[in-house]
Amino acid sequence: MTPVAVRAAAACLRTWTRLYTWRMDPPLRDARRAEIESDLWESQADRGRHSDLALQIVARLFFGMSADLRWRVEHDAAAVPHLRRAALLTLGTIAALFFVWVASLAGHVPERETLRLRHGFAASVAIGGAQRARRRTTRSVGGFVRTRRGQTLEDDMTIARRATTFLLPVLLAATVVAHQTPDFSGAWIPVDAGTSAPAPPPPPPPPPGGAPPPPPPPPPPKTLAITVTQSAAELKIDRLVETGGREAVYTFVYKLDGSESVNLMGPIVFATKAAWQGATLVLSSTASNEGRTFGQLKESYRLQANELIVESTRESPAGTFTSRTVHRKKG
Amino acid sequence: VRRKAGSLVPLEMSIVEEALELRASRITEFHGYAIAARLADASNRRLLTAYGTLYRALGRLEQMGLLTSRQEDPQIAAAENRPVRRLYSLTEQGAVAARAARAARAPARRSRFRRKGEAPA
Repeated sequence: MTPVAVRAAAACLRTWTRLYTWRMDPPLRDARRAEIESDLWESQADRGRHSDLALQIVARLFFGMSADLRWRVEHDAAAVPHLRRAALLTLGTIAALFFVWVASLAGHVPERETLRLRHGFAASVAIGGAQRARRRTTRSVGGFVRTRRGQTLEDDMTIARRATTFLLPVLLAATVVAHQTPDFSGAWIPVDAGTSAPAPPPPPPPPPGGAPPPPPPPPPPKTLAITVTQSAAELKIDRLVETGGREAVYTFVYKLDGSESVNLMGPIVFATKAAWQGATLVLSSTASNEGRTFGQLKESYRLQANELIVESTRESPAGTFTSRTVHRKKG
Repeated sequence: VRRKAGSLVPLEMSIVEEALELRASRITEFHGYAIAARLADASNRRLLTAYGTLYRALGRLEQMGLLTSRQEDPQIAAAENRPVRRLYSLTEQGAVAARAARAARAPARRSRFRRKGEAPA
């Protein structure tokens, strides 16, 4: 039985061959496809030679792509505009994706905006590339036809090949890194709760004869443990808290696509938006009671040396309060 | 590799030289994979010549009249349960070019040996 990797490599080779022989003269097209098919069969039959046949196929495919395109150009002058456009579009799209991934990796763009940017920017670059390709093609096809050698196009293809060779690994690496969002799933116990919380700012002096300042908000209930369940779409936190001498569990579910999530904690309503900033998940919430907004809460979740660090900032009319809690995994 | 008109690039030289050696072994026809395997063996490389590079070079040699090709009898391929091969053979012009390529390489090899102070093998 053919290993999966070899079958996948063979499928890539066949697809590429179909692509660069697309819309060629049928006899030439069929001859090239048959020749590649025969080569593929011979390499699979010659098992003694290849211990890593899939790699061999992919490497032979990759290193021959430029020659394939030049072969196509030599045989089909009509293919010139398509090839030039395809090369520029490929480069433009790769550059666009690379830019957006790096931007999202740096955490400067909220997730939903990133999605919009990803599509919008790639589309605009692709359209710009197509227009530029058309202009350049119009200018250079005259020279190409005059010389009948395709030298100009060959130079362009060489530049495109080198740029693609450089950009593709960078793009892949950026993609892999960008997708490596941490998994906070598990049961966590706070071990260092509130020790780093600074003292609240001193209340402003009461104005002479004025109303007394508003009292600081009541401290949040003491968290005994949190259980996090994370998927690609959402993060669920079951928070075991002690309030008024009793234990209670509050469940918070946050959508990770950038849209708003609404959670209740007794009479308090939290409207929250979640966003990844690199490997940190930031939850920005507005707290309200009976329709009246009374505070903002910003929590950031990140993993550090197998510990879950939760840093929060609460803003209320009474001032700004910060806390930092270190959690260790239960068991 | 930029080519001068009518000249052969190193890969094309290697192909015609290998084809000449095959002909000396009374093998007058060969297919693309076979020549790629021989080229890899000759240069002690594991990676065979890339598909595009190999078949473009074979096509150029055919255009220059140094090789001819034909499609093998489909019945033979069907009997052996494999795809049809394209079989190449060296023309007389190709044989002359192969000998010229070999002769052109020999002085270069000799001069290298002399520079290193070694005797040619």
